[in-house]
Amino acid sequence: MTEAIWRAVWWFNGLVLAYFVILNLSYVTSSLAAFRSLRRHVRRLRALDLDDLLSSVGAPPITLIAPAYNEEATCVESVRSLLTLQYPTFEVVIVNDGSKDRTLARLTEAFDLTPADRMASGTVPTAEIRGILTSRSHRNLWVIDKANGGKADALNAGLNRCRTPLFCAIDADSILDRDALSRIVRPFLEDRTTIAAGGVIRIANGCVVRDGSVVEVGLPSSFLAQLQALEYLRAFLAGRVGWEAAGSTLLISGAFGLFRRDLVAAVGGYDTATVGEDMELVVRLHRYCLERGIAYRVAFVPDPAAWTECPTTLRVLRRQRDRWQRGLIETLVKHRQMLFRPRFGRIGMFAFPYYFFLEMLGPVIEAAGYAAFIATLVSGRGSSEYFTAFLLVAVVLGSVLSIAAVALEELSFHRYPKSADLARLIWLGVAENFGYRQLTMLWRLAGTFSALRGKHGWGKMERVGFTTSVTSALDPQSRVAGPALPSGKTDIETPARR
Amino acid sequence: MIDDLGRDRVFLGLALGILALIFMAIALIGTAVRFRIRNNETSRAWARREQGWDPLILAVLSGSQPDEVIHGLVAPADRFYFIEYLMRYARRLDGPERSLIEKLAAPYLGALVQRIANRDESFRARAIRTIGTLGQEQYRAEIVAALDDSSDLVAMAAARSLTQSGSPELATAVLGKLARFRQWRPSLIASMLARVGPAMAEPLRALMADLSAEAAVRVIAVEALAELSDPLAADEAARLLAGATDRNLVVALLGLVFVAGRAEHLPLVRPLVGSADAPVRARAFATVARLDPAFSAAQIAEVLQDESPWVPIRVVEALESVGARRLVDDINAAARRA
Repeated sequence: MTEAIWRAVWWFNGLVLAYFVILNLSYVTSSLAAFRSLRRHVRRLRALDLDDLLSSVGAPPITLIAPAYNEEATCVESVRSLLTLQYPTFEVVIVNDGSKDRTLARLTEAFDLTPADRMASGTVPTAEIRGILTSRSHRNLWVIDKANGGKADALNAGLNRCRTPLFCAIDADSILDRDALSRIVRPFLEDRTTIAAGGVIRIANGCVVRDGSVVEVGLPSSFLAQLQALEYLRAFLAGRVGWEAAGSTLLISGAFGLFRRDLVAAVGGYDTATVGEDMELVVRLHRYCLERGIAYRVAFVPDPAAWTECPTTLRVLRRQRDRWQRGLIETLVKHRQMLFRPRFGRIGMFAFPYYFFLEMLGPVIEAAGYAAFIATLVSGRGSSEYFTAFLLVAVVLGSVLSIAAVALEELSFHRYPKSADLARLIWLGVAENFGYRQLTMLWRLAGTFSALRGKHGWGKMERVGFTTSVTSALDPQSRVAGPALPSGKTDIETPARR
Repeated sequence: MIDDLGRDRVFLGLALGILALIFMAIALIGTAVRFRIRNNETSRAWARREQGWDPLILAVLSGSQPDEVIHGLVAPADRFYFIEYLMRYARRLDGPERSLIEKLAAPYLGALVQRIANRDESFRARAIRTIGTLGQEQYRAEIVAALDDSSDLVAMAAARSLTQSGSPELATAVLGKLARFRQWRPSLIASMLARVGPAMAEPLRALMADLSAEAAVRVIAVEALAELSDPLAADEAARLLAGATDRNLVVALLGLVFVAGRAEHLPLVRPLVGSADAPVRARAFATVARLDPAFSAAQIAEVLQDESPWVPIRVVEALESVGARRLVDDINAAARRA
């Protein structure tokens, strides 16, 4: 009997090993595709003169929709940053999602808001709209004041009032590169079948922000934030670029994505029943177009960046990963009919199974694998071959992939100019395999159980604010002498899954 | 489960695998460091070159130095950098200063022209963009030929160069190739063509009226004419409305009549306010509102009661875009009352 159990454990160990091999092979493939794709992208960018391309009136107008919840500490600075974006025609729509603090009052004071008419163009159901305001000082700024309904609901309220052919969903507390809109709109100019495009999310901790722009990029001082900076590099430059090369982008971050308004309205807007509304929308858009035979493209553009503050405590990070995992599961379960259905093409046969088996079920397999591995070692039945193989795929290959992501960053955008940061990133590529990856796996496992229990809600994110050198000249009240950490602690809705 | 020999082999294989991956990691680290060194060197080299060129180029542009002095400072290895450097000025300058920049670039463009045959489309496109900016006169034939390049990126670079030349003859060459840009956003192409100026109106009108041309191509021509606010084109557009079936074309034609039409076009526009297609209705309503001096409160109510919320929104937007403030205020007031 005991022997039979150990035999089962032995086979299970083999299964876990196979899982790691498949997972890492997919990462290797993605990294290789990303390498080729990024090289091509960088050359293509040099060939295009984006500024000139967009100086014409042919650039499509864009509405930026930014949900805001209890953001009195940062909202004025964030809106000023949005208003200084370089793009021919855009509107900024801030959706005050029932904030309990002075978010609306601060916006009203800073931008001279006044009640205004703005006809609804969409009919996606939302929580009650209390009022619509426009700025007397900035004609392209609008604020929708509504009862609290969550991030997806706030985005839907913005969508209902959006008049432009494209809208950009962003987090109100993120900072966009000045030319981010000009860059992310490129796929829409080059290919009229483009329905959505995502940009890169980068970590703002450790960067210096001036006049609403990131002017100096550096790694955060917190070790936990440094690990996330590397994680984001890997996820976006190796992961998303690789998926884009395969024409299978299944996720556009809620912190920065550009969409065709009519199509998002046609699919019914954002799903308010999930915490993974960003991924769910993209999957639904794929499904809608594929079911109706509509020619379409979902693009990922690796150069425009949205800078966001990441969690610096284990507690907040755990909540974030728990929520991401729940969002992933909710989306994949909702659209499970797409799994291995040839009618959904590459999405159904390739991208969806990847997310389903490797990302959604991954934490369960990994956790069970680690448990079996430890049990095998403790019982003295562990084989050196298995131990070596495990080390090979779980640690060494993992390190190689992270270092590859650092190399991709150097090849393409090299946004971290300090050599010490480069060395640090390489070191982190090795270090993260000893503890951090296992920890995030456990949090994702907890997220899986949360999803099974039917848990909802976002949890709270604690922020310390961006590091500013000299703050906005437009806002003398917020001037800070020398480097400082402004704006205390704020509880706000966390940004969507990256 | 495995015999000793088998175990040794497995172990050896795994150990070799780990070694291989460690070597790969080291190679990747080397690659990252190499990229970093290369990037730093490139920045430093640029800074060095700029330091040498900046004072001279300003002196040449201000006329205090002859342009020949700068040529002696450009080493053969630096010629592409120099061209790229001149591109920055070319984008910002016009008139005699721009001509001077082109003159400075002329001796170096020959080497760049060879890149038009490069296998990589981005190299070809960049070469076309550069010679289109700095050597339009000299390399006109090469740029026009690039409109037939197998890559859309290269063809677009050529089209942009030709339309930026300001020469209607050159821009007309682009009109014949519009079909290949059907994947691109039509308003972008239309805008490129309109930037050439009113001299483009005639060939654009011919394209708009060409029933054998693709609807997508005609839409580009109509949108360009609307940007030019060409009154003659409005007459033709109103006439074409009766036979047009493509929705995008009808909307574009209405847009042209809206910006450049007259009251006598109203009989051709009015039937379209009853279209089943909301974008067509919206444009038709806006056009009637603009052209009909007797646009009434009853008609405003009709706009507001349209089944599509887009109709009043687009009507107001269109009227705002041409400064028809009184009408916009009337519609807004009626909307508030409703």
